[in-house]
Amino acid sequence: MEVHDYLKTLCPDLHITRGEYDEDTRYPETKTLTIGQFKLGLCHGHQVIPWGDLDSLAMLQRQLDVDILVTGHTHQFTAYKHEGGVVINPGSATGAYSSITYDVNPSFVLMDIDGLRVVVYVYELIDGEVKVDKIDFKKTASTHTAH
Amino acid sequence: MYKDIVLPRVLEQVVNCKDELAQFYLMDCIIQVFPDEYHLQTLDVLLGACPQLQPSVDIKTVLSQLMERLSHYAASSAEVLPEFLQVEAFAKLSNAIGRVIEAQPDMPTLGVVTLYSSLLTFTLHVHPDRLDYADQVLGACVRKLSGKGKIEDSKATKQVVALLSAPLEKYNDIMTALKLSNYPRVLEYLDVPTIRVMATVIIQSIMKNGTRISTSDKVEALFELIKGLIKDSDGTSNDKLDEDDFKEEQNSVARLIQMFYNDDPEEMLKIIETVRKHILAGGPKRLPFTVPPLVFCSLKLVRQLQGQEENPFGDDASTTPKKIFQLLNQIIETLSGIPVPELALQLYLQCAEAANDCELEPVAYEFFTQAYILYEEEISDSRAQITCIHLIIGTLQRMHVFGVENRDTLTHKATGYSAKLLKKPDQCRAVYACSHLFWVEDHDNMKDGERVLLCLKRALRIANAAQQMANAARGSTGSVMLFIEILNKYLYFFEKGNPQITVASIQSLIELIMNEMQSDSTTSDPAAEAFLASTMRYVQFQKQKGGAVGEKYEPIKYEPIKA
Repeated sequence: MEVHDYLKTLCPDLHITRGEYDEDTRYPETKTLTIGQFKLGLCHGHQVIPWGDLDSLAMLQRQLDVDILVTGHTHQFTAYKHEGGVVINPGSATGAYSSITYDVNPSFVLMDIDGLRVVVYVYELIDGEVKVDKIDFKKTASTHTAH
Repeated sequence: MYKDIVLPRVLEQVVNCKDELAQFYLMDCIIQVFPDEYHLQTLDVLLGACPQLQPSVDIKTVLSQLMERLSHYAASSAEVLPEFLQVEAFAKLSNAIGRVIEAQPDMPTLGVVTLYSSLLTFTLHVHPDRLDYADQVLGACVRKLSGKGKIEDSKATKQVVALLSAPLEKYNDIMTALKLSNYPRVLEYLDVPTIRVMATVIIQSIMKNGTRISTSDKVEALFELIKGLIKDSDGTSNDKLDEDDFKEEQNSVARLIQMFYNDDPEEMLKIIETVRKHILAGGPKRLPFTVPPLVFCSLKLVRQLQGQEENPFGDDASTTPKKIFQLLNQIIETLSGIPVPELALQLYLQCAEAANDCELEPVAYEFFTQAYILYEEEISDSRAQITCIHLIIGTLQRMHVFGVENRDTLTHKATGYSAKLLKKPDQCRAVYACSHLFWVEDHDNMKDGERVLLCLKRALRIANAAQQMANAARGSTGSVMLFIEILNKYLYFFEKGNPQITVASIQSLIELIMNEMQSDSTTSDPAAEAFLASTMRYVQFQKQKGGAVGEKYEPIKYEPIKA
């Protein structure tokens, strides 16, 4: 609850999907939303097997029919671009222990969505220093039909 | 001149007037009007006059104000500190206070504590490195409070909290405060709710300052201090405490546990054992909060030791991952019967994975056994079952340490659980997730194409059954979503090179889906249509890649449905 409240002070427009340790069962397993020209999907990822497998995550992305899938669970930052879109894992903001990833560096991601372009800024805390990296993605004008 | 002539004469007048109001007012004037350096030099004289005043004069306020002024003076510049030492200010003040308190045996607790509080602040400012002075002050306070039982006056309570918070703020390090032997003794006099407030203040101080708590002795001392949070005090229950407040309290204890750390594995293990001992006393309401951080601390230690070579000359007493796993088993066991079976199951699986990384097959198997037992015996809520199945399958998929027999047993059970979930769609999804158990990258001997296909076919049968059920119950078949999901899994393994997944099988699955979608009796589902469209786009992308991949996908044909 405290973390939830803290996050709300950062931004009142908060979207949450359930992680395996979350006791609050009201959080949904997946969520989709539209921001600008992009459809985004959210899923913690412990439900997608094998964990962290990009092809399986791409399947979920297709199922949710989203351009950008935001996922977690592995505590490892990844940004994976494929023809169908982008899969982003911001890693762990606290650097928490993970059975999947050794030496977790605390990290988080900010996405700047502007028209057909999204810029991903990843902030990582490595050996006491904050390092920032930036990745660009452009969405090609949509080829699939509207529903 | 002041010292030899003015002050003595003024004080003589003050004492002789024998009027309590005038005395109080005049003492106050003297203290406020004359500069602090003067006071320092005339402490003897000034303090000497105090016992001579009328007994009804509020001498404690006079003394407190004097000490406050001197504290500010000390804080104003480091250069004046030697003067304090030279005139032995601390000794004189502390004696004076002692005499005043003795002279007024009926002084209420509030008065006593206020005096000592001011003296402590003075001491902290003037003699920051003399922990013994600070301890003396606390000791004197304890002696005065003894025999009176717990403090009930709320103002006095506030003063005690101020008294105890002062060293925390000054030293910014709980460990220094803990060196004051009388500190915990003062704490004892507070009532139970206030002790808990103090405990939270202490934890916040630690978190704010990032204090490293690095030995089991320090942990022991700290837990003694905050024991109001760790367990129920004798006789009282927690019913009066608001549930949210209780959670916040326990969460701060959990965060505290994460702060205990020492590079040396032996010491770290001692710390873990000390924490375990204390949290056990917390009872079923607290363990779900305190056990997880302890488990993760232990797992971090295991990982640290993993990197190190097994020491062949090390004696049996040294810290090894195996030992820690034994401890972990005991720690997680304490959760049994609370009941929090999903939490325990998750923790067992975390340990299994860590054991896997340490190549300890029997240990990993034991953790899996515990997890499975919990699943079978205690997890009956459907939603919880689904989450737990995913965790079981996800963890098992990552295990490489198991021999064929053990792996088969665990896999067989996992697929069994999957097929027995309540709702057919959930069954279907769990079963096709199990297909990954038979196909592990990086381990050629764990790529069993046939069993993968068997799993997927089983999932298909369940999807079919789901359709028939929907037809029977509602008159129209349900969505084709499940079939499209399974199709995607076919494509996944096709991509990975499973020879059992043929183009023909993919093609016929596509046709089945198309037929179902065009059939009148099928409920239309835009989400399923979108999924199929994006799946076919994926196939198209693969074809366009050319080369070996393109060739592979080329034979797959798909005619989009005309709108």
